[in-house]
Amino acid sequence: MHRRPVLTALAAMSVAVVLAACGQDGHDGGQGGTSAPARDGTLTYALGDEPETFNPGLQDEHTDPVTELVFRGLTRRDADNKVVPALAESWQIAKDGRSYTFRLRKGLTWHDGKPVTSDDVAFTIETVKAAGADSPLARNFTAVTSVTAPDATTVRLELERPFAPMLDAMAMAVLPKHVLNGKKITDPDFGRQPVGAGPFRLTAYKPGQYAELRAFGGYYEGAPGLEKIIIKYVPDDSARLIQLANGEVDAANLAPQQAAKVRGKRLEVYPTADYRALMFNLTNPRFADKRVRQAMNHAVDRDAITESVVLGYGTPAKGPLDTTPYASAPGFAFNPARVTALMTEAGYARDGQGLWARNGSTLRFELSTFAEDSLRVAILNVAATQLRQQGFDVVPTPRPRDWVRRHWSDLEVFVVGWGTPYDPDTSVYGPFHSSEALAEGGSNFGSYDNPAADKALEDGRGTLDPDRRKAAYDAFQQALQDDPPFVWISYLKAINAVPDDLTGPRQRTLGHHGYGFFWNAETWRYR
Amino acid sequence: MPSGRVGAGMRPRGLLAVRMRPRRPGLTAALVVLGAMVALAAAAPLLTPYEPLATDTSATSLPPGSPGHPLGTDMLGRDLLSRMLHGARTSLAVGITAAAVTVGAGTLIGGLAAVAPRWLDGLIARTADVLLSLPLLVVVLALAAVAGPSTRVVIAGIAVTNWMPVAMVVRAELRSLRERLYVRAAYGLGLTRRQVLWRHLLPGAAPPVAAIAAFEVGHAILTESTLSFLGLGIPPNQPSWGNLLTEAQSHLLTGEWYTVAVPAAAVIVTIVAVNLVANAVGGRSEGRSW
Repeated sequence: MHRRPVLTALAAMSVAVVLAACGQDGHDGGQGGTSAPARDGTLTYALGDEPETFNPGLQDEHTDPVTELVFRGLTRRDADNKVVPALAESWQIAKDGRSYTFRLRKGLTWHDGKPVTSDDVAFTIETVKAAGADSPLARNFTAVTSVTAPDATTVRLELERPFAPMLDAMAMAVLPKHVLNGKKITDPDFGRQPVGAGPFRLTAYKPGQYAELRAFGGYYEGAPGLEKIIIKYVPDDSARLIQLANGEVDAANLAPQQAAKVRGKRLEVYPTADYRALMFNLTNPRFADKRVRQAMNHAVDRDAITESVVLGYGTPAKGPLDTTPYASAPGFAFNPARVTALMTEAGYARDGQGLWARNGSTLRFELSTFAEDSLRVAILNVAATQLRQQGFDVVPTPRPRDWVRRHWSDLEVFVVGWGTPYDPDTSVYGPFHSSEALAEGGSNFGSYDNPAADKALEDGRGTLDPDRRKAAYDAFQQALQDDPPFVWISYLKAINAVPDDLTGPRQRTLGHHGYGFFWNAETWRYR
Repeated sequence: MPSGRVGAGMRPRGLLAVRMRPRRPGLTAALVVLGAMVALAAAAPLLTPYEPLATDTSATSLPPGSPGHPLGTDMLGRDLLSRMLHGARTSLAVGITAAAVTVGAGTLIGGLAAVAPRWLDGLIARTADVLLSLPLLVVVLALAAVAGPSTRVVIAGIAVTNWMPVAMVVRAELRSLRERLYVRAAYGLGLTRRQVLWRHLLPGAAPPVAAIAAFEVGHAILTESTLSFLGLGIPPNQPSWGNLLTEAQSHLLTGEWYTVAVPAAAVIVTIVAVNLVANAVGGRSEGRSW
């Protein structure tokens, strides 16, 4: 009896082989019956990752589709990721940038019929601010000294210093005080049965399977065009493609190599702010010399990586803000001659095996990443090969996620993913400001410490003047160019297949994991 | 087929007194396949100019039969032949080592049980029963999940979950042999317990143990593949047949079918060959089947 599991595994392998053989030819044959999904105003969308909670107070600025559809903030972002009114119809900012007054729309209601008031807004900000480490977005409210609700539709924020991303930060969903009052923000019930004021309400949720959302008639812009949206969680890439092909789902998030296999659907390919890079652990003395880090930036052929690993569904990265309006990083070109010049200047010489060495030892380091993330592992292997060809003694070693989480400070070089399309401060302050270093509990996992970058980051968040902000982020990107914290690799594109007759999806630069695809889903409808 | 002659001339003595049964169809083929696998694995670096981890962005997703890449390349341009050969090294080494550890541990425990006082014998037998009643994969998965993926954990996991049949067989064989006339005669002739154990008891128990050992090799290779396929076996990035399958699973439908088919075929062919040999070695036709 105890042999059964092995037998099953063997059977699974045989099936896999058969499936694989059929995959090539059998695929087109199955397409005939696929283009007739239910037309009762339902859109079923297959997605790989499922969030741990639908509570936006516990998520960062990249909210998953369900949370995005259920909730609204005072502000939101348009197709250009510019801040526009949402639950707030207007606002005023004091000249000194230290006081914000928001005026809510009239007649706003929660999904349970209760009115949305300024009390809810004040409650939300106070709760998230008090949640500290539980809420990633608490960092946006550290400068807030008081939140008051003088009347039912007015909210006033007082800040101890100007904080440029404030309006962008107010895109954070407003939470219902009447549901959460007296409970902790980490309350698991709210995370599974959220009540919001967005265009869709969550009507069913089976963890690990799907979430069902129905149009909310009381939404402030009127009822959305689709009756129902079902988000199906299908972690396996191949399974998503199969379900899309056989009509089990109408739309799906796809991997690059699958895009060419889709028939009878329209592909929506959007840029994202989500980039991949090799992060140096700068507490490691071997990476102290910035010429070594510059040389490695010149040793990587980003175009080849973008073409091979993501099959062109990406753009070579120059810096952390490339897909935002603030993009100005010069970037590094693949240039073996520059590698040689910089490494020689840094005191290294090629040893017998052609590897850069100094004082008898090579520049040996482990390049690692989350072993479960196949895209990062692919980038790791291609980058390792390219770096090796340029004389860097790279040991490519993907590690299990749990191991990495316990060993952040032991990593040498790591394939990271960062970047948000929203306010530049959100995107770069955490990963690059020295006060956010790993040892301080921040998200600067490489412990990057560059006074020029620090100053530019502080200038960028401390002024509301667009020109001064632009200048600050120009200076920031130049600081990163001179003293690179990462080897920049590639920005990713998000690929989503949708039914041909679905109208409404509109291109926007999306966030991490391609989150944000449903940003205007209230306007989607079938033709 | 003249294959029946294989091993006919072999008459080794003592612990190696394993008899090959002649006239077993397919046995030659199985031995040739296994011999070839081991030879290819051992000579891997000589047989291919490519590093198993070296990517080539100018030669990605080449189908089998492409110039320079007889088995093709994967999505990152890594040569599949090189990865298969280096994978065979890992998979076969793990299989053989794990089988050796399993059989060694099983023989030791079984031998101990055979000579031990009743309570210890009972304890060993009950422990084996409990382990036999648990789904083996669950035990190995738990071990791998706690200790993290590494080659050593895979080998330990296989040994921990597979020593029981070896121990039970050794114990039963020793107990029955002990009562045989020739063993009692040996004692009567003045041989010490140790001499009897080495000259008569252990060689007598060798054939069934050898059969189990052969099965264990195949079983260990399969367990390695399964664990690695689940991300809990050989550390990721080190080529093994199981790891190749893991990496290829996402390309099932996207054209690179051979990245799945080739390692899967290698696992299946090896297991079938090992089982043929094991059946032949075992002699009796009641050998375990999969």
